[in-house]
Amino acid sequence: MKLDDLTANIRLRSPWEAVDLGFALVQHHTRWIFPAWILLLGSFALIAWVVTPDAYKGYIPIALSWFKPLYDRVLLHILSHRMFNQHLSTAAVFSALPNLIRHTGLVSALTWRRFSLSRGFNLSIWQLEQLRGKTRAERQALLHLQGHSQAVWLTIACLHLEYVVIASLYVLIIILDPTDGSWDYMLSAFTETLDTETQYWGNLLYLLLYTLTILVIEPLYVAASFSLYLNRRTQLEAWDIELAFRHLGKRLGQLARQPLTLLLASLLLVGLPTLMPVTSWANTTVSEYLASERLPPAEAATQISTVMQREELAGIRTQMQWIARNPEQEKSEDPAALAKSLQLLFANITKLLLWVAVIVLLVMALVYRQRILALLKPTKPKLPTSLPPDILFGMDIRPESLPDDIAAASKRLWETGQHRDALSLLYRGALMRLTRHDHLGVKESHTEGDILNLAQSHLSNARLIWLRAATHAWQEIAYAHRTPNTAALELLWQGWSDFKEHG
Amino acid sequence: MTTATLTLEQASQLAENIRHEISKALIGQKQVVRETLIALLAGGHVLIEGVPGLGKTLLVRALARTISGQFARIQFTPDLMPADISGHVLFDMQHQSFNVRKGPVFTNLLLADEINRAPAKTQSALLEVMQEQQVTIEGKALPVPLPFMTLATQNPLEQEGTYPLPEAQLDRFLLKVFIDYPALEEEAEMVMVVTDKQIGDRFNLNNLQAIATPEQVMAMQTVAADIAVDVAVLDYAVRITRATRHWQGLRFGAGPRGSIALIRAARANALLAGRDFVHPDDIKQVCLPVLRHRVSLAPEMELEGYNADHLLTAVLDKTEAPRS
Repeated sequence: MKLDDLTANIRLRSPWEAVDLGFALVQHHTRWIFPAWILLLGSFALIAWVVTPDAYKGYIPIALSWFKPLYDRVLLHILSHRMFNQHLSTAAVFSALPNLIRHTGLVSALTWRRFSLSRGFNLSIWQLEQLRGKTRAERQALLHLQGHSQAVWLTIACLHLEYVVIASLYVLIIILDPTDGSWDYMLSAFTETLDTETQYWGNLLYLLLYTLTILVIEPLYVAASFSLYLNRRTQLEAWDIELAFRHLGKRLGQLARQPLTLLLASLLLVGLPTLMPVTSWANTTVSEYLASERLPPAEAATQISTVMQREELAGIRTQMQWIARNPEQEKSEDPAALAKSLQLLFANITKLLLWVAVIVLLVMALVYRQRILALLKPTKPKLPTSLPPDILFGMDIRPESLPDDIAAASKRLWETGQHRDALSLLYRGALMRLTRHDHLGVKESHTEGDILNLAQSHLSNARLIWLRAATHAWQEIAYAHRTPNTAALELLWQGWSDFKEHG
Repeated sequence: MTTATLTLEQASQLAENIRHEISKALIGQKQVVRETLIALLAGGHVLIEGVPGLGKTLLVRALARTISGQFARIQFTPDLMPADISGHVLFDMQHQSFNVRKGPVFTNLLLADEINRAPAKTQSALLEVMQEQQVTIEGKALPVPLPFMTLATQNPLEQEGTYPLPEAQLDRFLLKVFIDYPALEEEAEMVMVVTDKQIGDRFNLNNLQAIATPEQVMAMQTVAADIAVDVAVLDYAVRITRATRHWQGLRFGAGPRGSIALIRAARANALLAGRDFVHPDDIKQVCLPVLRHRVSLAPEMELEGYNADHLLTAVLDKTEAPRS
């Protein structure tokens, strides 16, 4: 690829301007593109028509449309060569065809990549850069950073342009057909089953018109996509700057070889303004083109009326036409039939739309199956929000930190004179039962009184009395530093098992 | 003045009796009466806030009556002068000498009614007497009779022509008590008591008896001051106060006087419960009235409709209970 050979004026364009350049390219290179293009598409359509059984001939346009990526490759092949000023003969284009089929990722393009909305833009990466695998994906991601949305919209626009062209062609036929046969065919195609003869011709007409549509639109699409691609590369690789420098380099190189010329030129540039003669504007007369032949208005009017007197211009022509004698009678039948046919037309269009909707829904369901399946899964029950605390009032109240028989252990501590520890152990045991077994939401900020209040609604009366006594004894020793008497403790030790077991 | 000595049980019983006697006049409002008693036992002053007609003045008059001490009332008005409160010096023409004319503050119970209607200049006449329990007139410090307690009332509804209390003044009050509308049964009972064989709508306080003398009140205050406070509980009170200083949503928190007030009020609370030691629940119970006027809300919290109680409850909820 030599940038110097580029036939288009390369500069940084906005994406839509680049699309415009693509359309201009097609106009400019029409005579190099279309012979091979018409031959290819025509032969394709012809083969399809011959090969397909009569019953399926109606589907040929769909097949024709499906194979667009194949034609795109041929079109791009021609366009890219023209872009670098290389002329390809039709024979050369066709001889390149097998190579294009094999080495441009056609299989994927005709299957899952057929749905890509930026296929025209991506084609250049496949065909011109010949990238594959991870490199291609990275390259594509880079090129898509800008101009991708325009490429997508270009595809959508061209698709709609096709509908417009084909509908226009049909309307054109209906308008130009004096027999109304084509209009009847249109109506009946939607409302009733046609006989095979009519269907055959209808299908043929459809194929012809559709082929014509593709013939016009597809080169525009490919050229516009190619131009978008070139614009993106210009943006990335600064082709415009490179070209400008090359021209500059070339020109300066030539100048350097002729120092005398350079000297003269600079002298001229400096001296020019003083040597220039002064123009005298007053002497110039502006003469209109055809001024010599212009007649005065009165003379012109007489001449016009003389001409209008001639037989060819002044003649009156009578035209005969058949008009129905009793048009009212015909009209009286019309409304019902028209309403019925309109009804049927509407019903059939709706039916078609519904089927399209069903297919679209199915495809969507397939694409988003994971999300839909996720909705069907039962939601997991939430975990309990707060776990019982392990430490309360600076006391470890985990079950594993406490002895198995708390009352006995507390009693032992009491007997060895560790009164505070004994009561602490007992109170810890009570807290452990309350938090782990009665599931009381005890928090770090809760005081002994708060815990009693909390327990009030959860505990039985007997257990509450025990807890109150234990709390009281604990508060006495903790905050008043007063040892409760052993008798009170005895009661607590005895009550512990009841407190524990009924929890 | 002889100081009577009381045991814990006697003091507790006496407090209970006072409470019972007041409840004859002020029906319902148990919390308000309890908090006022706490202030009395702790030797502090109370700021009572509530809409008109809830019995703020009645409460103070009933308290004054149950304690057979002196009672004085100052109706705060915008033209009240500091000398009208503390007193002033008059020249006696007859004896050719200056006489000190003591103001209404020389009393046991002082009711400063609608305190926020007087300008800050007048309000600050109370600063010295509330803190030092003395009044300086013409350079001479004159002590007020003990026990001395100021009960100020203010109305939160009307802002027109009122002067909010300065922070220094607010800090002098041990408790700020909210008085709310009574419950249905309480109100019905109150209406019956007030209208039964009564002329006009004035409460008849004649049937209230004097339960305690000023000396006994002082003895009760001594008992309250003797109540034991464990280091862990003290630490808890300090932690709560300190937490208010960096709390999100509070413009500023309570100073050390807040911690001191917490312990004093908690002691009185323990005395009311007949206990000779303070435990963390006492602190928790008195925390709101003690701290609510010592913290200031950030403007955005005020705009969102929060008040000091909401934030203090959050502080309490996040402050760990004592590790004993």
